[in-house]
Amino acid sequence: MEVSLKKTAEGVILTVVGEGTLPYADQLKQEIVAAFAQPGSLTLDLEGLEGLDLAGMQVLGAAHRWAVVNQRDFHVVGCQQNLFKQTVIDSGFARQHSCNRMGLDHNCLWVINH
Amino acid sequence: MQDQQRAAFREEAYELLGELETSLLELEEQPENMDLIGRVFRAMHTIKGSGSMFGFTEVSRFTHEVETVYDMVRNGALSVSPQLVSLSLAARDMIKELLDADLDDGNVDQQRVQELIDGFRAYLKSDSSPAKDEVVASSSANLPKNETLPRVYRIHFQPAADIFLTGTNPLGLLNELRELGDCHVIARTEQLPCLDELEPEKCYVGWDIILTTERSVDEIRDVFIFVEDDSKLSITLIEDGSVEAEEGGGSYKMLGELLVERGDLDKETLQRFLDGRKKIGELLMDAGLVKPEQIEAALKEQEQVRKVREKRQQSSPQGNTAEAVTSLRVPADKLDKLVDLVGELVTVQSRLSQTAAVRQDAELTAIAEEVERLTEELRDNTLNIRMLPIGSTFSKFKRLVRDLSQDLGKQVEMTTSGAETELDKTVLEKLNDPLVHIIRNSIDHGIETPDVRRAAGKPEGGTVHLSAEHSGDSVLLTIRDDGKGLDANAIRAKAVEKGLISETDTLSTSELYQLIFAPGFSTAKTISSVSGRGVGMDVVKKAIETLRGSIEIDSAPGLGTLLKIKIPLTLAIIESLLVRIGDAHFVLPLALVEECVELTAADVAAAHGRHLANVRGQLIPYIPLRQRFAIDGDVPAIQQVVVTQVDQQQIGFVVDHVIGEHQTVIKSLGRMYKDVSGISGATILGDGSVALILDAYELLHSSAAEEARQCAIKVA
Repeated sequence: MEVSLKKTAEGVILTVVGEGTLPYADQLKQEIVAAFAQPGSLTLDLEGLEGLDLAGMQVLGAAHRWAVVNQRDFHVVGCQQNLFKQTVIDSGFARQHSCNRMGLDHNCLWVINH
Repeated sequence: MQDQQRAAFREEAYELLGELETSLLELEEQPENMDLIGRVFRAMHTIKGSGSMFGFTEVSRFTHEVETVYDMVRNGALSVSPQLVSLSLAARDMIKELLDADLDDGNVDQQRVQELIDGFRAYLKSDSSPAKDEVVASSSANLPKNETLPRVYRIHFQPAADIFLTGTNPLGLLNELRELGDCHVIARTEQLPCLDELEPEKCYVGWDIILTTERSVDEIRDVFIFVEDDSKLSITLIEDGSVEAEEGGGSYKMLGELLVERGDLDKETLQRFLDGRKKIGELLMDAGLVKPEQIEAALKEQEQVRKVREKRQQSSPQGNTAEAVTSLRVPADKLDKLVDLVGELVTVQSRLSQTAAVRQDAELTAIAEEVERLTEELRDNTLNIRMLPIGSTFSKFKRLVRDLSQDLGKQVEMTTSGAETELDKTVLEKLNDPLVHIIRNSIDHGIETPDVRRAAGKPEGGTVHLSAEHSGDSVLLTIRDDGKGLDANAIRAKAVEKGLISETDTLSTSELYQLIFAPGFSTAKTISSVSGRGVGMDVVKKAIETLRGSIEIDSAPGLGTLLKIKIPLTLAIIESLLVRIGDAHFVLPLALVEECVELTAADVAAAHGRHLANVRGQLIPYIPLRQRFAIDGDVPAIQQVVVTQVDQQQIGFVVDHVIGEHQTVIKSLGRMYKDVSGISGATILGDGSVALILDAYELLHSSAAEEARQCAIKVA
């Protein structure tokens, strides 16, 4: 898994390329924790994701939860790519509506546009 | 209680062993059929698990070894070979022996047990793993077509936190569930912590799953077999397809009700929110009382059940004809008792009808008629409960054919048709041994060895075909083989040698074939599933006749032999003809009766002492029953001859009066009278008196034997 962090006017963009699976789950967690340490919003770019499993999904879910609790702006890019969508559906994470605390549907990781 | 549970397990295990045998034989022909592999695995798994639960330690320990191999087979790590099937069939027999031994306090050959265990362990190490491209993944295409309506299950699965460390991928389990049917999975993420507290190698997620499938709970549980011990798993049947269709188009529980039932919400809170104007789900989510995934899971459950119910209603305009068939396990002796009671009821009903007729009371007659109608319906329904498809018996013979043809170095295939034909359980049980005998004979004496068949221009493999079909109130069974057929000359020679016929007797080929059923043609005295080969067709015939059936044989040299067996559907109650001789009543099975004709004193005189009745120019031999049973009293001027068809010949039974059709509840005579010839049982008449049931076959044969004896005396 290769990760790169890019600063923008709003915050940072964390780009992940490669496997988001169990062997890399801890690395993914640490990279996101480090990115949240930066000021502003965090955009996670998953367009280059080549593998995703439950462990990876948990990291994303926990990051989403942390952002809500800590009132940080957290966006994910690449949620609609096929691999991501399929894993979200297979794992039962897919939702029709966003969680009530996040408000808008398009902000929710797990709302899949079919 | 423990004994009852053990007995229930034993009964279930025997049934599973029967199914296992069938599955193994099918697996031998289709070694890559994942459904069959799954069936074998599940049978072993159930026997092992339940065996252990009810104290059958030996059974459980032994079955574990087999199960281990089949688990690897179903995971694609091992393949099915003929050697594995043979080993598994032997293991199946051993499990039965172990169960039998527990029942009889007997012993099993421990060395043999160990040999089999070693055999399975060796198979595990053997190089029998399939090539990668041969591994057939279980897919919905392999699933059996089950005719039951789908059921909806609510499954909650919370894997152990360390499931990743065991190498198990929970998403793989979810995919396995998807192969079982329509599956909706909603992840429960409430345990998921914030990122800083997350330990990525731990599993925090659980699932609510709504599965619509025709599979059983056990089959669903099998998916979780390796993780169940460490996980939280609950499987609840929420719609079994047999619930009465609800009024209002298949409605299901309201969302709030469901959330309470699923444990997501308490009743009081629900009540508080029910007064609100918004939808209950939105209200509860707004208040933070339930999470969106909980609402989604409950809504999905509601949707699935509604779909299943709507589907059921669509397939049944009245909303009830397509209800799923549910079954109930009832001990056979309770059914026997029920049939006995119905028999008593039929007798009492008969008395009621008779009393009503005598009193000429219109009101009583109306009641009696109503009771008669209900009794008849009850009788038919009760007898129907005891009906079992003959297919279960057929499948047992597949094993017999397989083992016997291997022993004899022959290639024999058994084919069947009409396996769904139903027969009374008792008839079916009693039919087993004669059929085993016939099939043994077919394979041993009928089907030739491959080289002989090849030389005769036939395919190397022979066929034994078993078929069953309904024919009126009987079932017609045929056993046809494509072997060498009967040798009429050899039969004639043997019959002469045994003194059954003289050398000068001229018999047609068909009559010669019938001789193989003659007592004395062979030497076997008893019939059992292990009786000798090629002997005892007279005993087979006797067994069929005991069932009030008949057997015929036909053969074509070089082409094969055909045996036809006609068996009544039930042994408990028969339609019969009630007759009277003096004060004694008798009944004859109506199925045998062709007609009744008068016999006058002049007719008797005209026959010059011979027992022959002239029926429209045709001379029919008769047996004067008054004489046969030594009944005193005056012979009426006009007697009645009941003409019957027995053993392909017409025979008359002379009685004083023919009373009419009678519904006969058969009672056995008891051990004291078991040797009385000519009588097969008794029945109680409406007035409480007893009528004896005539055994037409026995009467015919004993009469023929007596006649032969008289002739011999005269000659001497």
